[in-house]
Amino acid sequence: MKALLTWLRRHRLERDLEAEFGFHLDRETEAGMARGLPRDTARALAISRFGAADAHKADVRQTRESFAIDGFIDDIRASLRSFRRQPGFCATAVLTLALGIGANTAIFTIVNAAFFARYPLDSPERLVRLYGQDEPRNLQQLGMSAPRFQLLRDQQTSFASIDAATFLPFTLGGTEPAQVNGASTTSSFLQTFGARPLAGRFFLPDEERDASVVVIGESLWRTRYGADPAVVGRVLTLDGTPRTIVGVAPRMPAFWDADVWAANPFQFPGVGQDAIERGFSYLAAVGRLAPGVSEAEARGELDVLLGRYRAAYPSNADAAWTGATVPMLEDIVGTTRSSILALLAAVGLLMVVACSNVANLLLVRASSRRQEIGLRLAIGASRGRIARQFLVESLALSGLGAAAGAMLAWWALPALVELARNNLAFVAEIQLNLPVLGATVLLAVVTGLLVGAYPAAQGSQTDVVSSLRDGGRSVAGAPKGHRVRRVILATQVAVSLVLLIGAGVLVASFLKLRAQPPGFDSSQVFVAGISLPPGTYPDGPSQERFYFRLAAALRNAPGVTQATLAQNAPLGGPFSRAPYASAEGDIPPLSERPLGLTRSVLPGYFATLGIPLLAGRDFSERDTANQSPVAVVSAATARRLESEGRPVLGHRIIMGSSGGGQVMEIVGVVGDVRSVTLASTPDVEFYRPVQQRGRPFMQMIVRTSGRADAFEATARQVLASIDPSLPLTGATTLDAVVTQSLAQQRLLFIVLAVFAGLAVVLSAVGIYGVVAWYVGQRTTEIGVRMAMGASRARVVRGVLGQTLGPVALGLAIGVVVAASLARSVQGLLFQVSPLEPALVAASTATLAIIALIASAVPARRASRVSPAEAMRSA
Amino acid sequence: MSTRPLDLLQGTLDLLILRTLALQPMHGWGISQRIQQMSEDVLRVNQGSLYPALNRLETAGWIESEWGASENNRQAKFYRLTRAGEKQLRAESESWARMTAAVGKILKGSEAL
Repeated sequence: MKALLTWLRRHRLERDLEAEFGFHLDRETEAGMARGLPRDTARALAISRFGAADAHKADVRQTRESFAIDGFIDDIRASLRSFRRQPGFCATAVLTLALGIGANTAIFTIVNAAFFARYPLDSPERLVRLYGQDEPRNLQQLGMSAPRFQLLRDQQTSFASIDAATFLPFTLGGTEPAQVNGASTTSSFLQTFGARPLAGRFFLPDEERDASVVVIGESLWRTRYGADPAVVGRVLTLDGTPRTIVGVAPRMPAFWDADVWAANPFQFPGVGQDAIERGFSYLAAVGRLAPGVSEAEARGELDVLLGRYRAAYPSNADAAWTGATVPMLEDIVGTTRSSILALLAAVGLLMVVACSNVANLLLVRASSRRQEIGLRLAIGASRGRIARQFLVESLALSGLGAAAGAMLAWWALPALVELARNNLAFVAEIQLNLPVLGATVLLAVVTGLLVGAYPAAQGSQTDVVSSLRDGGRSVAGAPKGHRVRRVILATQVAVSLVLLIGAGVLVASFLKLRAQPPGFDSSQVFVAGISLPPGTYPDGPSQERFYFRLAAALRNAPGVTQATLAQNAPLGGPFSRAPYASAEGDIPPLSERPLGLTRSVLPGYFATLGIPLLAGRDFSERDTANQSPVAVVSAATARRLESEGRPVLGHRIIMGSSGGGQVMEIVGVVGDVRSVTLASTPDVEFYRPVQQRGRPFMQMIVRTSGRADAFEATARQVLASIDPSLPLTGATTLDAVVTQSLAQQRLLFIVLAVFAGLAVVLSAVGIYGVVAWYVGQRTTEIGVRMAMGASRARVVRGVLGQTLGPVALGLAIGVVVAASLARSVQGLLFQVSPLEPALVAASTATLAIIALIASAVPARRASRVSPAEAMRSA
Repeated sequence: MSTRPLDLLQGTLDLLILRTLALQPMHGWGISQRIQQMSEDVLRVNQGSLYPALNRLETAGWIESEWGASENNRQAKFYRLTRAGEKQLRAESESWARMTAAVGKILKGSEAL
């Protein structure tokens, strides 16, 4: 295409010249004939006077090509040619831009996935998540109970529909039993979400309480059934019961996805129907706003309806809760929002540093090209042309940078996604796509214009005469250009310092968090989940028998020192809270009781995890369902009870919502465990024997004598020896669970530390470049000074003076900017002030030292200038 | 002194072309004739420099070209001065005047020696 254009243009030029020359000869011949010469003679004379036409044509072509600015493409070609001549400059600039643009592309990709991702759903922006909140107890984003949901569904008018689901694992039967993600939903849940069946249909209204039909999810459909549309009508075994597949649902966003969708949402394994009726809040509710109704209007109606619920069920656990709504798209991004915004700010700052660097490089290059520009101006190039050439050069540079950056992002993205996998809910959706590439291209163009504008303006103002006279060297230097370079330098240093301080506080915060004593010993502990299908294990006693047999078998397995089972290992996944109160004295109504963490465990839980028993006793096999209910509490809970002037051991509390709560006796006190987050110890935590508080899902917790991660095969054998139909899920180590709980903080600090490192390197390159240029420009002057007796130290001081001023200014500005940004990052930090004096001082000192080194290297070179050499080259 | 026409110095040709085109748009042959006439046959334009010069001035944006009908009704490429060209002509005429005056002074001085 380009070749064709060039050929066409050259062809036209040739034809034009041919015609023009022909006309000239004809007129010359006519003029000769007018003087009385015969035609042939006149013609011959004309030709001889005209000279060699081919040579003239070649001259014309050369004139054109020496300008080489016939068009944009020529400009680009000329730019690329000049880059080839200066590969060092070109590589530095392109690499710098590639880093900046690549980092931006990667972060844009995440942001795009977070805020703009398109799910295969109809108008997801009309979807609203419905939460409960308990203002007096400061609990937010609570689930919804079945009676509350049913009242809302029956009476509301603001939503086209509202639906609810609860997500829990199912066991798929077959030759290889597998645990899959399941959901029990109201009948129109998938329709409300705006999903469309990939095959078959979703549930019918009268199938809501029907246990015989299921819809399967897209990923299961593809992996297990080869995406066969004829899967509809087939039967699968779910938790030991045969079910008929009626349809296939598309992949749903983030944690709303499931492999198997079933009905029957108003029951929950391990929780009695009575507790469900009394306000056990386990449902995730979602509504699709009716046409023309705003979220605020819907919330208004919600408040009215919740008032009716309070009046109808005054003693329910959730009676006093108010309602809250969150747009679904926002809800999916959730708590990662502030981290994402921090990343976006950081990557923007990195881009500023990268752009400053390239602008500086271009300025240096422009000043070293004064002679060339002067020459081109002298032979007739217009100043506009020169400016355009500069702009095209910087655009070509940023274009190359963008291409390299996009490749960098493409290459780095899998690592970033891996890093983000478990703390960004929407991570599966992350991929490079058109909007992101568009943003990259836009960024490249804007960068090119920003970075090229000043050198272009500068270059085109070159003074023809002086640039030629000085031979491109200037003894005094261009003071204005140098001032601009110093401003750019100060900016770079300031921005780098902000990034450095930001990364510093995040690292400090992470290390502090990491160093928190968790209250248990996580080394050499293997953890894996088991869920018991209600078909084979219908009641508490059967589940209990299984757990005790499994625990005993595990203890006898090779390489095991201790083994137990619990509802969840600390820091590992969902936790449950139950309303509680002291059973002595006045008992407040259920809806006013605070919530306390509750965990069902087998005897030996505390010993296995190294949690100290401070008073009383551990549970034993004798704490059966028929015996009087007992509980063990954490030290913090004990302190709280003691502060109310009550003895702890033997104290009776009422806990749970089923039957208005169950009275139990505290038989033991154990050390505090950071079981929900490493950042804090729960105020209240209760442990219950699994015999008295049954759970169909448990985790095995095994302390091994060897490596914990090597225990998985043994664990499977042990499980299979007791029940070969049960799958083992989520096998991992407790160390990994603890590490995983800090994933979001780790992601943020790693990315920010990388950005800060890049910014510092780029700044160092920038400082080095400016000083080196300054020294190069003043070789003559320095030579003269040294010839006149200036000491080396004095020369070095003079050169350093050029950068240390802007660096100091930049550092000061950086501290001020960091201080003004402090408040916005406070929420991301743990026990670290965003302006920790030691960190600010260390960051400033680090950057100052790096700046000093970057300027000292060329400055030393200046002091080695041989006076004789310098003056000769002048 | 010979009366043989002088070849033009490099650089002065641009000035003369601009001056010629300031009168009216003209084709290449016309320009060379006009320069010869106006200099009363003292200056002769070498075709080998004329056409490259025209192309150079055109790329610099000082003149522009267009095909049109010539005085004998033939297709010819006409060149016309642009706004930028007018400015350039003024600037170059001025520096030319200063230079010739200076050179003249020096030559006079040398005669006096």
